[in-house]
Amino acid sequence: MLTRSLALVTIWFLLSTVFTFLRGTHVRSGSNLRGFLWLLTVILCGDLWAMFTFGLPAEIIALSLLAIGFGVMWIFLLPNWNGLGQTSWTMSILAAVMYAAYSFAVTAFTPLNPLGFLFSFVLFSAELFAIGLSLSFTFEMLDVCTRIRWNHVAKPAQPIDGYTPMVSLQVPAYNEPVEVVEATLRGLARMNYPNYEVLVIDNNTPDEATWRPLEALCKELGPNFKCLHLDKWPGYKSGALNFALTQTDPAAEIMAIIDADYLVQPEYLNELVPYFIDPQLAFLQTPQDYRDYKGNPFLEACYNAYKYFFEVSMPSRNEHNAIIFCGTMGLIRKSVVQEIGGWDEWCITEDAEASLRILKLGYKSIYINQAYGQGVMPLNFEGLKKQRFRWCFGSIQVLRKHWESLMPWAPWVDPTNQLTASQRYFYLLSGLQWFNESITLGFTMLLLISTIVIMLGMGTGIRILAGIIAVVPLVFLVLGLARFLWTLRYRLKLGWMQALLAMGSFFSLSWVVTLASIQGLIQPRGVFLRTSKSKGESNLLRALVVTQWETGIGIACGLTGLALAISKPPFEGWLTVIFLTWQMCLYLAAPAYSLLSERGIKPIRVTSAGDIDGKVIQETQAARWSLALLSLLLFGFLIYSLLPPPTETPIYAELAPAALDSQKIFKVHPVQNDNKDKPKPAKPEKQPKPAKPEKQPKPAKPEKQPKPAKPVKQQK
Amino acid sequence: MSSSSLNLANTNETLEESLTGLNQELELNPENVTARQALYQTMQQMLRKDAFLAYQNETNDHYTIRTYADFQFVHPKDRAMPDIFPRLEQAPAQKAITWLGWSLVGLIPAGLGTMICAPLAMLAAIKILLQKNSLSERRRAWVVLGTSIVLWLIALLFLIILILHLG
Repeated sequence: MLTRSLALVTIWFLLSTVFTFLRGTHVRSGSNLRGFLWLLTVILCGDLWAMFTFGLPAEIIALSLLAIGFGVMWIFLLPNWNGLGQTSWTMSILAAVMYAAYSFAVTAFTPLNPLGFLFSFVLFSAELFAIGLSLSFTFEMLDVCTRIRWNHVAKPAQPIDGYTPMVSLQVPAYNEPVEVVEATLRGLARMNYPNYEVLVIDNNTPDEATWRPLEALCKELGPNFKCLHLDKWPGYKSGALNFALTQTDPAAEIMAIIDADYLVQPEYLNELVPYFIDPQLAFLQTPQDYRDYKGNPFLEACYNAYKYFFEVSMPSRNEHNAIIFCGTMGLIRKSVVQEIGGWDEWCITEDAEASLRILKLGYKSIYINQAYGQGVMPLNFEGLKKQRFRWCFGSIQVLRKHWESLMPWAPWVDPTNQLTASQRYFYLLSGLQWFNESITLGFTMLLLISTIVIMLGMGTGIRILAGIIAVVPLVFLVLGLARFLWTLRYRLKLGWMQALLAMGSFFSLSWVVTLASIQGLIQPRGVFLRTSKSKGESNLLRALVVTQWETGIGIACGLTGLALAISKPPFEGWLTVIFLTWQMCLYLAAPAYSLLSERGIKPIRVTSAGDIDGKVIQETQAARWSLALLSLLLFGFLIYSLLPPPTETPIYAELAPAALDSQKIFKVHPVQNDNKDKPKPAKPEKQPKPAKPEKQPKPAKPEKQPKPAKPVKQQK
Repeated sequence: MSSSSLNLANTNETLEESLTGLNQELELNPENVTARQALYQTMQQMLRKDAFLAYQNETNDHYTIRTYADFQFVHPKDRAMPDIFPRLEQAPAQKAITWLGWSLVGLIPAGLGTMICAPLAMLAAIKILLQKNSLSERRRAWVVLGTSIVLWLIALLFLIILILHLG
């Protein structure tokens, strides 16, 4: 029953998702009735398929009624989505829940020795986590692609007579090339807003010759331009900004953080400050945009990948008053910053952390989806890795500090916590989603080890998904990737190749995100890795060296997959080959992008200030830990192979879900009785049959990193 | 005192002496808005001459700073006292929450860890409930108690399945 239910739900999921890809962004109106009719249509189509092939009428009817009830609930809960989105979301949840149930049943009731069960249970836990994350990505994408009503979209405002509060534009800089900061300051001097100051905060730049010109420039630009050089100042950027609070004009009501490489448009303040007439509005964010990227395929891919956050994640969050303050190109009320005690010097994504504390106090935020300034992206892959490391590490720090405030019971425990359920959900997810990459690495390890173990004839190791159901994880993966591409294409208006390259940019950072998320958990304080935005000579060798670990993992996956393919495995074995190939592509994206970053037209950048990048990521150390873990797993498998398997079919094996062969799914062949479908528990996992690669761990974690956008933070 | 001090600030020959006087005034009366304003103006004049400031030290209330000319002074902070994290002192319920966290992690190996950690979390929570603690801490303890019981029951189910596999 469970097997057939999963097959039916997967068919609904497939149908609804494919139709959403085809028409989901075109349907711009909707009603409960239309949503309901579409839900019924999908369910009916799936039911007909099941009825004539593998299904039993009673089961189909029962499951359909359940799906209808569940779908109706979502139609009422998501009135601002079109029917395709509502149904797609309903079926995504049903498929996830049904797969989790199926996976649990297989894990629990497949005849295995205790160690095999424990390994399988770890895999099941990882699947469960991956499924949850996958659903969160799905929600975010459907929320922006199938939404028919935007309730919180704000446009640039008209100036309000008599309301021109003083604004302090704060430009933190660390060892920035003078020419870059000069362009930024001269741009700020052209603001058409009548009441503002510019505070340049040079923080710990070691060479006096670098920051003294900034001091002179501020004097040249007039009394509204002030310069501070803070020497040996602790707390990184946050520490400097906290001191800058004391040197902000007491009349200033609003502050804006501007990265030192941003060219800001003159109307920035004129069009945005009027929003602050609402005393409850604490901060406002606009997209961070970039320049000097055209003609360089690496930078173009990065540009589109960056845009994902501001075109998908932030609009979705804005609808739930749960945006993140990203620092640059955001405005924030000074009194609120003072009220929360300033910027957190412990956290390296201090602006995102501050926004959570502000929302906790019950203030409002707003996102204006119009870019007012362009900065510079990291110009090579190494710089990109450092930036992503910092964003991820900082997000994990936020999670560590505030996780209790994000729990469902938080307002009961702490009545001063005014976060809404939506805000708690989005902030919790923005931390958890980074762990998607760790799960990916975990699946990769399991996939590699179990494949090797099987090829050595040491048994299957862990529980297997047999028959056509083994395809379900692949369906999840493919649909997840397709959904990601679909979202990129629709929201960012990209062609297929551009979308693929942007997606690859996310994949290429999988390893560094894994490192950062693990390090964020075990290391209390972070190192502020400055993102280099200047560029020296191209260095192909260096480009390869900085991605040596990704390359190693990718090659290991590729070789293992090749060896398995050569052994001519059965059906499930080929699925494993596909997954290994996928993992290979995922990790080899890193060296590919690193090499790409050394090619193409390079933006003209100045490098007069030299380039101090801070400590490098301790990749080698982390990778050694990974290898140690891998060895431990391998050792566990060896022990497992020494333990005796069940000698006869245990009673609990009767509870294992039945297998369903592919013929029943695709051939008109009504099922009358499922007794014959039972697995063949009698021959438990023992039979070594080398080529039979058990299931492939990777399953549920389909679409992988849409998360990248969550970056939150920003600032070189 | 405040007016004389501010007058002093206005008439002092050097900015350094003005700063010293204003800081003395603010030390006595941190809420003196006029003195804060005067301090800001004086700092701005000084920074116009030389933007260099070196960090020496800080407390919850002020920074100790040194100028390029080696003049050292204190400057009040202009913000509320932030929450320190990681907290210097553990909250009463922290121990219970830590055990709860491990209980959750303990579910991964088929609930084996939870079977051990959840009861410890329960004990820690009960201890808090028996002591005189703030309402917030007591509520945290209730949450820990309830959640750890649920986790333990789930782990029990997993354990039973594991025992099946022992046969």
